Amino acid sequence: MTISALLDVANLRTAFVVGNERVAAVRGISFSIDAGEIFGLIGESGSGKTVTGLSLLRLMPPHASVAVDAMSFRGKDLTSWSDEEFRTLQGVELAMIFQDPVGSFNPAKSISWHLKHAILRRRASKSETDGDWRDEAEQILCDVGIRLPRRVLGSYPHQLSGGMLQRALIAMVIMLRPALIIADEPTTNLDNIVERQILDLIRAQQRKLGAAVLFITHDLTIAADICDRIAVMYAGEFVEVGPAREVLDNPRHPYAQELLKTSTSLERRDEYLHELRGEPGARREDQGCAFASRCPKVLPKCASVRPRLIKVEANHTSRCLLHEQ
Amino acid sequence: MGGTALSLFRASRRLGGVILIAFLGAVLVFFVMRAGHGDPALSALGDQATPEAIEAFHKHWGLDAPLPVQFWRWLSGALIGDFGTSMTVAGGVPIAQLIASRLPNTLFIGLYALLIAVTISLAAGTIAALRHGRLIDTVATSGAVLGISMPDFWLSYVLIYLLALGAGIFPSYGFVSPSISLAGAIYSGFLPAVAVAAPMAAAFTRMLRTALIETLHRDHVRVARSLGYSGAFIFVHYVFRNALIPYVTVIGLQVRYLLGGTVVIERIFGIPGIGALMVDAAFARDYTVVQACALTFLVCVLTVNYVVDLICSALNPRSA
Amino acid sequence: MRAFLANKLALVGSFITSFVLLAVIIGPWLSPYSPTDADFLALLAPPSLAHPFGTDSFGRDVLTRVLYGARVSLVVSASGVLAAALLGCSAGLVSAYFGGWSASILMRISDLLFSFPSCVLALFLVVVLGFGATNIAASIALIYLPLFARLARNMALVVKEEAWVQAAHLMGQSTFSILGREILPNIAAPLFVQFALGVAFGIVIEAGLSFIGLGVQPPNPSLGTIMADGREYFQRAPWVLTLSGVAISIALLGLNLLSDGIRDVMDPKLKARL
Repeated sequence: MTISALLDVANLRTAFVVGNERVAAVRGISFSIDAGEIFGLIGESGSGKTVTGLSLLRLMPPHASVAVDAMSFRGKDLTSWSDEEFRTLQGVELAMIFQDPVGSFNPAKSISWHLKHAILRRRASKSETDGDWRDEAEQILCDVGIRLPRRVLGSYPHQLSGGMLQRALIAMVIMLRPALIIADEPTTNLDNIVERQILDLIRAQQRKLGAAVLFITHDLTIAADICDRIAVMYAGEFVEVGPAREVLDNPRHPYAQELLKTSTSLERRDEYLHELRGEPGARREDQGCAFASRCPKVLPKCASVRPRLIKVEANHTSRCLLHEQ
Repeated sequence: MGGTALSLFRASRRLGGVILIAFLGAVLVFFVMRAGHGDPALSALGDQATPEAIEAFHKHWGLDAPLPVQFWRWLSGALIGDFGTSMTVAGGVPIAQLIASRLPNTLFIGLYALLIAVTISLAAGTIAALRHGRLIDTVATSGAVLGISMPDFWLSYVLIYLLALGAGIFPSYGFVSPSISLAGAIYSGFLPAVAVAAPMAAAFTRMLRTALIETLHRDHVRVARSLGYSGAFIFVHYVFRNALIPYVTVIGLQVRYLLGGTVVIERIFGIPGIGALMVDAAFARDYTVVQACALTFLVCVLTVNYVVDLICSALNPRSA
Repeated sequence: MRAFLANKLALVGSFITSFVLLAVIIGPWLSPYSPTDADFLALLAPPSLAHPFGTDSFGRDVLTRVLYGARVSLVVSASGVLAAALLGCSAGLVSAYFGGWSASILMRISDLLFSFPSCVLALFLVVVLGFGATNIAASIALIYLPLFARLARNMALVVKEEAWVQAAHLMGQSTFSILGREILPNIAAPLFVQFALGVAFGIVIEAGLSFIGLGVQPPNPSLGTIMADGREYFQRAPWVLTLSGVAISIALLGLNLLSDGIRDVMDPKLKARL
């Protein structure tokens, strides 16, 4: 618990209740993000990374149960806040860039309508002076690299491409000037060229705003590029947390090591790509290490003993029984 | 700017299509009627009519001309509002007059019913969607299923029995035309309007509920929540607005029922409308009147459908 | 199929519908009365063990009449909708598959028929063709033809673009067999839903017209004529009108629930577009 932390989360747990079954998506993660820091959340599909982002912003559907031991923002404890109270933070201090830009816009309204209401929201909550919102909207679209902002403003979502919409979505979020941005795989649905541009854009805007970013992705290389610290997530919990460069140059957890190997193998265009077989299986609480069935360094006791996060270096932890020897 | 011109162009093209259908309808109505009943003279004068009487009848009514000419005369007359004269159901009275005096009644009941149906469905559909899965949702949906399972004329009697004869709140028969007294029309027209409205309200409620529930789960609603917009704002602009198109579409589809379904209801409640006129003419074998009524209904439906189409286009940004 | 059995609506709906069908098919045989047996000693008798639905003004057992009448209404409606389905689907499939002029003409005619309010169209046809049950069936057929044509056409257009259909075409399968083997089975479910709904509404139309006297002619029983009778002496013997109305409602309820259930089951798999 650092004093300067912008966001502090202790033991976040999220589960889906389907009928009588309870499926845990996030099994107790704790972390803190400092102001201006880019914190990466890496994991494959089903690791619980998107659910984490949604749970933080109270955007989970009603049949999901979200619980947290402690959650504070700028030192204020949020756990006791009602949803109405929390709404004062949503879109003001906390904002999210969603994965699918196409579905994120109201199909019946123009882009200018979206931006207008975002601007008005910010102005209402941060008590600023007025000015023509149209000028600001145009400016922000230019900032995100849209060349004909007036035309885009007058367009409807179905008339724009995915890349364009993602830029517009980022524009909308940036315009809110939040303190923390959760970016959920903002480039996954885009092609490589656009992906590069969007990443540069996010980085540039983040520096300009001084905002903290929780960057969620499955792509190690992107994480290495843009994040300050990263947490590798597997089956709903952190398996390795540390400075980005350190974790990626020298991963300590077998899962992180495997991820790196597959990633570099792909980059090197090996003839036989390194693969990590299997997939995250059914969640069984407290029955040993969740990664045991796929781990190349598995030990017999891994099936029955659940590893804890152990400090392997300064500011660098890993969840593996290997470290406990 | 250019968009408006394009919309106008599309609107007029659609209008052209509508006029075409109206024309085809007129053709259908005229020729089918003639094909079915051959010589109106025989039906008017009876089987015992002498050949001279028949010929005189033909001359009088212009039935000696070739069929296409008769059709043209009828159609051109209809366009300027002259449908000819009623033969049997209201002997000698110009049909146009009959229709003109009755059309407002039918339209009034239809509109009244539409208002009731829309009001009920907006309330019930919204509540059922927002309280999806809970008791009130089940109540509303069951009510809707029952609503479409009851024949409208039976429902009329249930209403009459309960509210008119039983409680004496509303009249069980008779209708005061709105041109005479609007308040009287609203009062005497309530039961018939409800009877017509019930199945429609049921269908509208179901559609609105489904559309709202589907929209509530869409991604853009979640994005709106992340921006911290108020619940009311999100509901109006993100949820309801997007459920509006399927809702209005189903209303448009039901308009045919609104205008035509009143036929039996008019008879039950004694409303002097076009439906009742058509039924009377059917019994009286006054075929020209039946023809004119059918054509009137067709034009009404086409007009309303056209307007609904325009509304839907306006609502849907994709058709811009 | 399993999903169908699990769906409550579909289950209740099919239960009610089967019950109704059973009652209508077997009931008349089981009844000791004939629909036209007049018992002048028991005119307008209230419901009792001997006459569960009471008797009407001719002393006829209402329950028996309702069962026979329901049979007539169902047959008229079902045959009308069936004819509409057969003709409409063929027209729709043909227009979807071949396109061009024939498609335009077929769809224009279908639009035209659809532009008449159902009762008006039925009324018009009855006037042209004459009163009676068969003509009502014909009217119902024409009322529903456009619905089936459009439904079949829309679905066929979607399915036509599917890869397996194009593959069949390339392999030289005849158009007819493509239509029958590839396209039809995929659109069967929504068609069935429309069929059920059509029969339900067809019953209402038939009953309505018979009610005003333009349909099935008395003394032949039809749900409509029974209700017309019941209307005459409503004050003295409300049970005739009420119970026959309840009978229709039950049949309609069964059909509606059944089609709702099927729609629910279908929804995630195939979106039926009208």
